[in-house]
Amino acid sequence: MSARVDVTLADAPFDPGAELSAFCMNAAGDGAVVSFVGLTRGQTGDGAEVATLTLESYRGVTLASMRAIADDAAARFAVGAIRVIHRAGTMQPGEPIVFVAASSPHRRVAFEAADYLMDRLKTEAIFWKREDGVDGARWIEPTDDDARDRARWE
Amino acid sequence: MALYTIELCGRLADRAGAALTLELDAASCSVADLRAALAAAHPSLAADMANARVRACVDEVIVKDTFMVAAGQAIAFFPPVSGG
Repeated sequence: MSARVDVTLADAPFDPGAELSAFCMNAAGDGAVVSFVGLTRGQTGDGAEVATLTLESYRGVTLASMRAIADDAAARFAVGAIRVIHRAGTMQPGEPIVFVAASSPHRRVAFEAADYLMDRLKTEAIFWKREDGVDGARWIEPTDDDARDRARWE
Repeated sequence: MALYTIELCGRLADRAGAALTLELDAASCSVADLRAALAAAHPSLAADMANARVRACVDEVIVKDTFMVAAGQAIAFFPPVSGG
């Protein structure tokens, strides 16, 4: 059985609640749905205020990288459906950046698939993240923690 | 002479602009050659061109340093990525 995989690169704000409702409507047959929403932070790691966050992407490569990660999750876990939405462009603090959802007959599988999707999106999806604040711009790169989280799935 | 157009993504664009052109004698060269030529022409990129975590992308496929690239292909350099 192959899972349904739906991946979107969004250049405008999206409603994670509406996405989760739509995902649940289509998850018929699976008893468990797990979702994760990432929101734009209002502060940097050292407490400075963030005015906007910009996610740069590159042509078809960004969507292809998201699709490869989602397909790997579908192959690795016994899931019925996977949904991935990732923003590009400029965002205000509090706006959703990323939404993942996985459905499965068993909740633990759905939790693991969502966790796996996020660990790989953080470190491998083709995006470059820049925080613009009152004291200038700063590019964000994956942290050692992000790399360790990703390595759990090796 | 052959003209190579190169896009610089993320923080690399802060150093030398989002796109630049390089004129080289050969109509094709390896990605490693291109890194060296870019570093020579733009010293602000030298450290990144020597960094293996900065990857090359040709016609929307991430490639190794041994990959042969031709003038006219869509060439880009990617610094470490960060999604989510």
